[in-house]
Amino acid sequence: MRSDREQARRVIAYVDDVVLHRRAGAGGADPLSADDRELAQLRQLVHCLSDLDVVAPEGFQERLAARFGEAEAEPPARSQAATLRAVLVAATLFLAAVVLVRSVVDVRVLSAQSVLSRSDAALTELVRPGQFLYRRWKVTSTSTAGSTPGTTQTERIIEEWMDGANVDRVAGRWSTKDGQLQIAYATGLEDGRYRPTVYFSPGVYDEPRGLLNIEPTRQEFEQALQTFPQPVQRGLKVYLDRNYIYAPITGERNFNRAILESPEQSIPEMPRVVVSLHDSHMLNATPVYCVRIVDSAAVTFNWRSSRPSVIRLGRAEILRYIARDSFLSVRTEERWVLEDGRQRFTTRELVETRAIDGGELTSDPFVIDVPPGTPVERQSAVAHLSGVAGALARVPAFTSRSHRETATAPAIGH
Amino acid sequence: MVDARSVPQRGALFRSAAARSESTGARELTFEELYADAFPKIYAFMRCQVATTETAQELVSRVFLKAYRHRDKSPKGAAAMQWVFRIAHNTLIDYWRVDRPRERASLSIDEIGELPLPSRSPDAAYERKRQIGDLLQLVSDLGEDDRAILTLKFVAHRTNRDIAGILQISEGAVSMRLLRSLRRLRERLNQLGWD
Repeated sequence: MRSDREQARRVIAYVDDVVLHRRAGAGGADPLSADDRELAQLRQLVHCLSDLDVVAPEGFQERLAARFGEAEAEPPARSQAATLRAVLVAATLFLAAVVLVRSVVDVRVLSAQSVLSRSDAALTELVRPGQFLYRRWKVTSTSTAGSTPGTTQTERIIEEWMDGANVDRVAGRWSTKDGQLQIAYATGLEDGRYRPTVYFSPGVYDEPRGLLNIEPTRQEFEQALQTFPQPVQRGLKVYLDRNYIYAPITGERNFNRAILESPEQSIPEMPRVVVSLHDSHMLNATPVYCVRIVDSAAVTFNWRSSRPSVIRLGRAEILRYIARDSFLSVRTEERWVLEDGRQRFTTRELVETRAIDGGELTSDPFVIDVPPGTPVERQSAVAHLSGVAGALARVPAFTSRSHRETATAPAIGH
Repeated sequence: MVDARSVPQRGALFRSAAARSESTGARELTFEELYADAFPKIYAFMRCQVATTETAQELVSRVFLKAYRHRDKSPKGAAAMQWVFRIAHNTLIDYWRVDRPRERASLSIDEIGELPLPSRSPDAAYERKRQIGDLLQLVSDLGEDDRAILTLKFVAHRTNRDIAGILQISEGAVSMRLLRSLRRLRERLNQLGWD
């Protein structure tokens, strides 16, 4: 019996020869005879392992190289004390500049700040600590595939909850009109940050076995944003600010804020036109803002666990009735024309909204009941934003094409 | 030294450098050359440790952005490749510790490159790739050390000396660990009734 050390030497020599043959493109020929029992046993295994050759996604090597310039632009590392001093100085200068500018001219900033504080105050009136804001929507969608005739109509119910003690703690449930659960969403505290987790029932969004998807936190998206070149960051920041990514209640509130606070925030990568904004409408006895906007190149992002995410550009015409006290929507109508030719018209009607005491909850919406054996995946912020950046590069071609095609289409709404 | 902002425009250089062997001796590699040579190996190594291409891309991005920022500290010649692999291994350990302990690697058939025997029929090639994918999943069920050493050897094609430098162990220890990793994998296959 050989010693382990001698056996290791023999086996590794054999392995190296096989791997060398593989690298040289010499196929699966056996360079040495496997002349002892263990080598003979390992032979098939070694050959199978040496056949393992993984190829990177096309274009990834070049895309990564394109980010080296951004890495170059980062400042060199310095001591914590020096960093802290620099941060304090910068913060002081920034605050001084803000105070100076606001005191002299910038009415729009004051207005936006007013919007923020009023919506926060309104939310604290709507729901208090120990209570949950509960909202139930009826959502009707009519879809037309680009290449095939006919339409598909779906109806679903969306229920949403927000914790009165912390507005970042939210949950949602999407169900068919028959009550079959499609999607469960909940944020959970992780290292001081709220991380969304989304459960897809089997069969929903092409997940045959169902899926528990752990999504990036807002902070992770912000960090990922910093890794992109400056011109790309601009489009991605608007994408994040407009909150195209679904989040119960908070996402809707941020989307509405973006419309009302920054109607002028239109950049070539993410063009937006606020067609009209009226603040004297009433809907269901609620004073509302009635806002009509056109996003000439909005982004839809559908993550898939086992294959590439589906990221599409779409021209979106959006009509929103936004409660003037809370900046939460009361009714929305949206028409999307996607770049693959699909069209979708969706209306969301708020069926119920109320604050409920914690004790009234029959089940905890922040706990997702995941069946055993459900795959779990963690979504990457960098991959998400890389996909969106790829879509934004298609914006010029998409907008010029969709402008021609939609020039004669009737507007949505009344 | 390379002008960082000129790197993305030099696709032709990437290809020619990638085609070169690693036998550059002690000559100082430009970062472009190092990147072109190291990228496929680092990507393959990282992809075999994680569940999705997205995660692999994120980790590989971290590796090369870090390497680029510290390229002035890169050793010369062939040792530069070992240096990048050490960054990759440390990045992977950080990921395992912080983000995702015990993640099972999973490869789709499309991600597996051409097999070395061109005469294989399409059905045989598909079956072989499926077998390789299954085998990788079994590798990822092993401990972190086993996973790292097996992929460094079989996927990244590192020599024992390289692996010793990357894992900071002796060459003798590399041989012993590799043998034990293969034995554990063989034992696992036997338990599952693989032929």
